[in-house]
Order: sequence, then C-alpha cells, then structure tokens
Amino acid sequence: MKLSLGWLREFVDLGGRSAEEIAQVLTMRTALIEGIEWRGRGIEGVVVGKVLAKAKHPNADRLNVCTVGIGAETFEIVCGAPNVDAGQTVFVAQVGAVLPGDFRIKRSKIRGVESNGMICSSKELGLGEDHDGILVLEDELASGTALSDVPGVVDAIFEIDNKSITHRPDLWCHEGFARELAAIYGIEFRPATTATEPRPGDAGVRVVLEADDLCGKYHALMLRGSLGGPAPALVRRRLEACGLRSISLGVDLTNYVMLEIGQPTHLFDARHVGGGTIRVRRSTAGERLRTLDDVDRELPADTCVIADATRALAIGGIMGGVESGTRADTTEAILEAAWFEPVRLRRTSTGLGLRTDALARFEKHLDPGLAERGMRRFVALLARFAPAISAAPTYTVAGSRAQGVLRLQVRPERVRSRLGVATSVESMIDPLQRLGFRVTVQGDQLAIDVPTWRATRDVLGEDDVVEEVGRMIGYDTIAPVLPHVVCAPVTLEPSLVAWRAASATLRERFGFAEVLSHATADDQQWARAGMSETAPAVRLKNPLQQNAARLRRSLAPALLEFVDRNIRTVEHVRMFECGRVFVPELGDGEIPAQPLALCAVVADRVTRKGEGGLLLRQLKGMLEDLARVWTATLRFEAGIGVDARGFAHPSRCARIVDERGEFGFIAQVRPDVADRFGWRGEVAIFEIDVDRAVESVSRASTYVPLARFPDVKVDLSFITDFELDFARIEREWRAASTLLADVELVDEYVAPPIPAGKRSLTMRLRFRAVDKTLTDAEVGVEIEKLKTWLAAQGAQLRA
Amino acid sequence: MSSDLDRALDEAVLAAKSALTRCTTVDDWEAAATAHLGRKSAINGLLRQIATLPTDQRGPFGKRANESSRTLTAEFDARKADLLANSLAAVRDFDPSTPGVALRRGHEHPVLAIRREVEDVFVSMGFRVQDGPEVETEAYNFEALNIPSHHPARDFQDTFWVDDPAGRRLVMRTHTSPMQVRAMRQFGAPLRVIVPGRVYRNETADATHESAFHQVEGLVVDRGISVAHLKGVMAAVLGRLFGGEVAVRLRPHYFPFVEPGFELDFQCRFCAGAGCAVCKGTGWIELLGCGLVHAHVLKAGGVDPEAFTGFAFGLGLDRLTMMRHGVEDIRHFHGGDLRFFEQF
Ligand SMILES: [Zn+2]
Repeated sequence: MKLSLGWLREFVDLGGRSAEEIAQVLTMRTALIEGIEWRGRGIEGVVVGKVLAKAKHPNADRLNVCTVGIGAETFEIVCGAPNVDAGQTVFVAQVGAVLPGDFRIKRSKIRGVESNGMICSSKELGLGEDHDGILVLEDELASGTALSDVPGVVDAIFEIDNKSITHRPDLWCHEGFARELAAIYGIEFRPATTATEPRPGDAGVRVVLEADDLCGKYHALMLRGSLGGPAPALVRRRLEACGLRSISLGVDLTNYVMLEIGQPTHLFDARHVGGGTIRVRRSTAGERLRTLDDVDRELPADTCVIADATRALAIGGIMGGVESGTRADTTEAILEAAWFEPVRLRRTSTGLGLRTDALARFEKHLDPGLAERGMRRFVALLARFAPAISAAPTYTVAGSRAQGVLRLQVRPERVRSRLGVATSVESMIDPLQRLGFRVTVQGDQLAIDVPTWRATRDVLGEDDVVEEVGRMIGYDTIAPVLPHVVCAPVTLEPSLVAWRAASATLRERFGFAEVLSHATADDQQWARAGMSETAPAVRLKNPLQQNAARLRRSLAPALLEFVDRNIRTVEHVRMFECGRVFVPELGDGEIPAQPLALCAVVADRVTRKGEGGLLLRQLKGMLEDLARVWTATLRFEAGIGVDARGFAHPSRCARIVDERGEFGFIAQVRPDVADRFGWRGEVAIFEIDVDRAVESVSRASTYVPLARFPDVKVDLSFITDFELDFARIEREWRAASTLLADVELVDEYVAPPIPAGKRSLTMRLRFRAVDKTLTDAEVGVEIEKLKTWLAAQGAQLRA
Repeated sequence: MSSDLDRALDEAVLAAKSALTRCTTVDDWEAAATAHLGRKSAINGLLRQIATLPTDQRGPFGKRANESSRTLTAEFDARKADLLANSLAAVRDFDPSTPGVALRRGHEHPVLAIRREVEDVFVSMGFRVQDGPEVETEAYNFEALNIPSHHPARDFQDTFWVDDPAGRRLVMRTHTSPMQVRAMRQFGAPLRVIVPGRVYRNETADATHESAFHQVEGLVVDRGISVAHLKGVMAAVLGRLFGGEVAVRLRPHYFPFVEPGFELDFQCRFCAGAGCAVCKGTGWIELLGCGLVHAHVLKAGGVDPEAFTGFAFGLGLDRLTMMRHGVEDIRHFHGGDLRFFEQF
C-alpha cells in the first residue's frame, strides 16, 4: 500500500520532520516502510503556464508552435505532444529549468523554429508514466505559480509492507497512519471530518437485506449531479500518487474515501437499479455477472450479491458490475457504504480468483461503524471537491451489525514481565490513550476500552495491549538479557546425529559432495531411473508442474539425474544426499511415514578393462566404514528383489536387512540403464533408511587385549564360484580351526583368465594361541584343515 | 708373520683413508665404504684372520685391527654426514609453491554447513535439536498456529496441498513452526528447542525464489520469558555466528502465532550500518521473524499461558548462505551441479 506524506499532513501536523525520519519512526513502531518514492523532486524552474495559441510548425507535420503565457510574458515553444491545445493550463519548463535526472532545458532551434523551453508531460516531471502527451492542469491555477506550490505535486510516497499490517484493519488508509504518528510524536491528531447530514429515513431507494450473515450493515444514499466528469486535479494527483487510476469524479471520490479512512464504498447509476430496490442476497446456482474488469464470472455459492429486483448488479465487497456503474452521463447515483462479513468474503474471493482493494480492506474485518462514517465522509468531500453534486438529506440503512465496546483487564505487571522492562503505569497509559484506548486505573489493574477500529480482530486480549505499549515505548529501549535456565543435558535426535556423522565421513574420508534434490520427483526422471509407475507415492494436489506431482519415495532417481548432469565433465562423481522420503502406505494415521534416507552414488566416466564391478565393491567398503563410524551393524544379503528398482543390476546388488526386513540396498546401475543415459563407465549406488540403520548402534566396545605371543601369517589363494560366499567360508573356517584368529580379504579378482562365474580370492589368515608361540608344524595342521574343507567345496587352490 | 699382517693392516687403513678423502658425493662414499669397510674389504679379511692366529699373536694384533676398524668407521660416518648435508642442500627438487598432491576432497552443502553452525551455537546454549515431518497436517501447519482457514495470513504462504486418498488435509509444511506445537506436546515446559529443516512454498523458482528452502525454528518456553530475553538470545547467537558484537533491532511485524511479533534486523556487516548495496541503503538486513509465543499456540501445545511464556523465531538459511558467499542464484542449492559444490 502507498501513503502520501502530503495527504497524511492533513490529519496530523508533522512540522518540519523529514520523510526519511517519519519512515524510520513508522518502521520501528508501526509497520515496515519499504521505500520512499519522491514525486516532483529535483525540479527547478518549472512553473504553471497557459497555452495562448497553437500553430502548425512550418516544417514538420507533427509539431506545433505554441504561444505560452507565464504571467505577463509570452514565449514560443515547439511542442510535439498530440494533445496540446490552446487554452490549456500546463507546466512549462523555462530555459534554464532542471528536470529529474538532471535534464537541463536549453534554448534550441527545432526544424528552424526557436523553442524557448518545454511543455512537460507527467513522465518528464517524474510524476507518472504517461508520456503520450503533456500534463494538462486545472484551469484555476494562476499562471506563474511554481510547481512546488501546486497542491499535491511535490510529495513523498511511502511504500508500506502489506504483510506487516495484515492484522490492522485501521491501517489500510491515511487516517490510521496519521493517528499512529500523532501517538508516537505526542502531537495533535485531526481525524477526517464528516457531514452531519444526511439522516436515516426514506431515501428514495429501498434496501432489502436478505443475507444478513454476509452483509451486516448497508447504507444507501441518493446523489444528484454529474458524477461522470473528471475529478479535481488534487484528487486525481493523490490517487495516482497512491497507485490508483483516475476514472471519474464519482469513482475517484469513492477511492479517495477508501484511501483516507479505509472504508470502501461503491456507486450505482440509479438508472440501472430496477424498481428502486437494492436486494442484498446470496448468489443463485450458476449465477453470472460481468464485472467492472469486463470479465464474465460465475459467482460461487454464498457470494454476497448486490442486486435489484431482477438481476445482480455487483459482487458485494469485491467488485461492481460493468453495467450498473456510473458513466459519463450519470446524473443520479446511489452510494453504497456497507460492511461485509470477512470470512465469507475471502471464500468468495478465493472462489473467483479475484482480489481488489476493497476486498483487501473488508477481509481485515473493518469496524461496521466505519460504513456510516465512510458515507458521511463522502458527503463532506462533495462539499470540498464537487459542490455541484447534492446528496439526499436522508439515507436508507439496513442491518444491525455493530462493534461493541471491548473492555480488557490489563495487569501492568504482566506488561512489564512480557516486555522485560520496568516501565511506569503512566508511560503505559499515555500512548494507549493517544491511540484511542480509554484507560481507567482500577487498583493494580488497568481497565482498557478498546476502540472499535481496533477491537474487531486485532486487540482482543491483554497480550495485545502489551504489544501496543511495547511498540509505543519503543522496542529499542528494551535492553537484551539472557534468560536464567535450568541446567540439563540436551538430547540430540539419533537420526540427526547419524546424518552429521554420515556427512562428515562421506565427505572427509571419501571425498563425496553433499547435495540436495527436490522433494518432488518428475515423471520423466522417475521413468529414466526405471522406477515403477505404480509404486504408491504421496501426490500433490497443486504441483508447480503437472508432471512433478509425486513426492519422492527414494532419493536414487534424483541422484542418478545429478550423475548425468556431471559425468561428462567429471572423471569420478561422488555425491550423496540425506533427506526425507515419503511412504504413503506407512505412517501413524495422521501423516504419511517420512523416514530420513541416505543415498550415495559413485560414478566413473570410464571403467577400465578388468575393473568391472570394482566400483560397487568400493562403495560397499565405504558404506561398511560408515557403519563402523555409526557403530551400527549392517547385514547384507543376496539382493533378491533389489532389481524391482528398475535401475538396479539383478546380480550385482545386495539387500541391507535387519530382523524386520529390508531397509536399504546397494547395487550397480544396470548397463542398459547406463546406456539409456549415455554413460560409458559404471555407476554404483546405495540407499538406506537412516533411522533403521542407527537402531543397531551399540556403545559396547569391541576392544581385544593385545596378544602376548606373535601371530603366524599365511596367505591362501583359491578359485571358487559365487555360490560359495565369503561369509560362509569365514564361518566354516573359524569353526574348523580354533587357532584361526583373523581372516582378511586381500584380493578378489573376477576378470580373465579366471573363468566367467568364478573368482580368485586371496585371504590373509592369522593364527594365534593365547599361551605360546605356534610352531610351523602346528600351523600347517590348521591350514590343511582349511584346505581340505575348501577342496570339498570344489574350490581350486592356487600355488 | 705378524709384521706382514701389520703391514697389510696399515696399507688397508691408508687405502681406506685415501679413498674417503677422494669422496665428493654420497654415491662415491657408498662405493668407498663397500670397498674398504664392507664384507669383502681388506680390513674385514684381516679381522676374520684374527681367529686363525696363534694365541700369543691374537691379542696385540686383534686389538690393533679392531681399533683401526672402529676409527675408520667413525671417520666414514662423519664424512657421510657431511656429504649428505652438502648434497641435500645442493640439489633442488622441491618447489614450495607447487600445490601438494591432492587427495580427493569432499564438499559440504553450503546451506547445510550454515545449518550445522547454527545448530552448534544453540546446542552450546542448551537447546535441543529436533527434526519434524515435511508433510504436515493442516491443523499443525496452520490452525494450531492461530491461522484458521479464512485467515489473510494464508495468502502469504502459497501452500502445496497433498492429494490424500484418505481425505486427510495435508500440506507440505510452509514453515518449521508446526514443530513448536509438536515439541511442546512432546516435551512440555520449560523447553528450549530448535528445529532445522526444509520447508516448501508453491512458488515458481527464479534466481531469488525457490519452492523449497531451509529454516531453523527456535522456541524457548519458561517462566517469565520476555522480549528482553528474545533480544538477548538472538544477539548472543548472532554474535557467535558472525563473530563479534552484532547490533540487532526489532521491528513490529505481524505473524499470527506470536504476540507481539517482530522482524529482527541486524546491522549490515558490509557497511557497518552506513548503508550500501547489500542492505539497500538502510544499514540493516532483515534476518528473521520472531515474537512472544501467542497464548493460543501455548494452549495448543498443552502449556498454561499464565504460568509460562515463551519466544519463538524462524530463521531462513538460504538467503543467509547466499549473502555469506555471494551466491547469485538460489537454484544452485538444489541443482546438483558439481561445479557449484566443489567450491565449498
Ligand atoms: Zn550495508
């Protein structure tokens, strides 16, 4: 919302305070001023002049040579504006004048004719965007008047942050901010004056209030006179400065009232109100109305319709109809000043997808009493700006909605303890009274009557009064204090601790980059990763893109996409993400399950011959190392079903399981999926549920006292198939030899000359006895046991 | 016999010494040492002969031979140390300005790095760190926070709605604030907790807007918590985060779940408050929304608002990160481009 400083000054005497200072004070006490826009600043030597005569330029079709009078002097000025005409009152930049942007006016010759200055457009003066023609002023301005003396031209416009006044229906206008300034500075506040006429009574228009739950109060007042002409220049200037377009006298005055005191009003051309009756009713099913913005709209259910006997004229509180509004030839109009129910109004607005300045105010829950005041202010403005228009001596009113007095009991002690500042009762009472609160001291409490313009939604309880006191004494006067607290150890969530440990390990030990992907998975990405179309997913009703409505239930598709984004320029891609995934079929009934998942991917741009499958084994090593950091136990099992994720290799994969089942996987990406992406090297990936992984975290130590006698170290190499798995070899060997202290995998080789489906394993065995140094013969016996077992399994021992 | 041996020893020692004198490099030395002190050297041969001498000759010659060998060895060792010292200094094969051989380095996500810094500061002040669901009920995300469905404040939070087959009213949380109520229900009062996490707004992305971004929610509930405490804690935290004293100011602002509500600005670090491009000339940078917890919210959390008061704040991390590093486009944070991440 925009506020004019010049306009504010009508309601409060701000003296010589600068716009910057006022903006600062409002920002700290009331609402954020996002900026100050100056109008008519940086201008010198521009005065009001009269166009006395206009003649065609002898050498240019589009130019005119105007004779301009300023006081007793006359000048010739060449002007290219299409709208210039004799008799106009205009701003003239004389030779030597300075316009915004330090643009200096010089005497010049234009196509052979001397031009002694310039007739200005709004844009040249920085007063608007209109560059189509010159700015035509009101005729009553005396020629020679300096630009800065023309009312409403030089002004500072404050841009208010609307979010900071969402709760303040009283601040959507100049009067409200003027009241704040008066209270802050302790200076006089001059509220907008209103007309004491008209009286309630029979006003020549009937109002039938059929939907009093949608509209609580409705005033209708007949106006006579030509409302369709232009509004006075000051009115137009102020509206334009505040971002509204000038339309006609009548419409401009309704907007003027709205910007002054916050009450939206509306005008109907009386000719279009059939039967002299206004019905305020609910919309009927399928009812339509072409609104002022020339859009034919279907009215949602429970729309408050302003209608005559037969048809809808306006959407109450939001926008008028295109047909029923005032026009150039309107001579009789009905002024509507009403109060609409804010909750219903917002629903209607949402249903229509239509927001207007009127709605922005009504939805904040205005004081119902403001409607009558708005009508009376309109009448007062007629006297000031349009004395030729007459208002009827009586008006029609329907509805009984009113804002009662709200009395609050406030404990000064509570105010002090909430603010954390020792402030006197007097220094609480004074600013409250300036803001319109009535305060009575009752023992150690304050009885506070909330003014009607604050009592609808904003100030409802003691704590709201605390805020009023706080901002008036100034939050900057409150000294920062650290609280005294109970000293107790804090518990950190295990999954967050695990996330941090995983991030540190993967980054610092293995060189991964920590990335984040979006929570929505787009269908294309889903499909490229070979994910099943039918896997249940949490879906959004209103996604940014229709093909990205699905929330991820795995981080893998996005990370594979990220691999693709980098693999053509990066030799080795290592990335991981830790984040929530969404599992609709699980959850506590209230919300879907959202476990924290960790997904890591490694990709080589090129895989060297003979190193097939190596990347996967490396990634598994990293995951095992991470498990050690977590002190968690990860169990890997044959990856049956892992390839249900379409990107996973059917045999180079494993499930990660606990007693409740699978909670993660590790796999190489299938070659055909890699082909689809156009990758040449191998890619391996794991994903696990972090919460599940850290369930097995144990603080038990695995320390073993140092051996007193030396180990005997023996390497064994043999070729075997993959049916004989490592875990079984180790288990069987340990069972066979009590002296076998440790089994370590030194090498696994799967490429030729080892036949396909087989592998060469080299294991380092350590034998140890607790009570003596083993002899070669004793170790030999043990090794023979192991070799015999291997041979029985069909393994082929290598030299 | 004995004199032959003695002569041979003298010759061997002489030869060894003269060879040592001729050494100019460690390699020369290695050759000389092998030739004159090694296993096949003359001296070594003489020493081996000692055992074969008649008993009466063994003593004097043995003593002399052993002594000569020790002396020679000492001279060789001293000479080697000199040669080595000279040669190490003489040959330049290391350029201190050449980068070291790099091991693979990992990269922390810059937003998460700041998130962890913030967590650490609060943990040091005795705050719990909680995580919360990202798909949240409308009740927690809005109603419990004093934002009923008709409330105009909902207009500022473009919300992603979940299309729930069971008809539950679920949203992608628009802020971390729902965890205020969840945390109070779980832990009661007094309570100090922060909730870092990702939040969502239905906004088309551009260089300064994203549909997902990171916040840290904070909540302190205790007896007698005041605006002064809010200012004190925030100033302390920002002092830790930015280093040194940080001037903060509270501006009145409206958030339905606090009363009174503020926006907290900190004095621009780039211009020390004088006004510059970063702070748009104001000298202050808007950092977070905060306020005293609204009585309705305390009640929703099962806390008695007469006995306890509290303050809450919501700090956005993405803009802070962009400011710290001068990141020009917020979309990098979810972009997966390693050229971006490798810089952190
Ligand atoms: Zn600055």
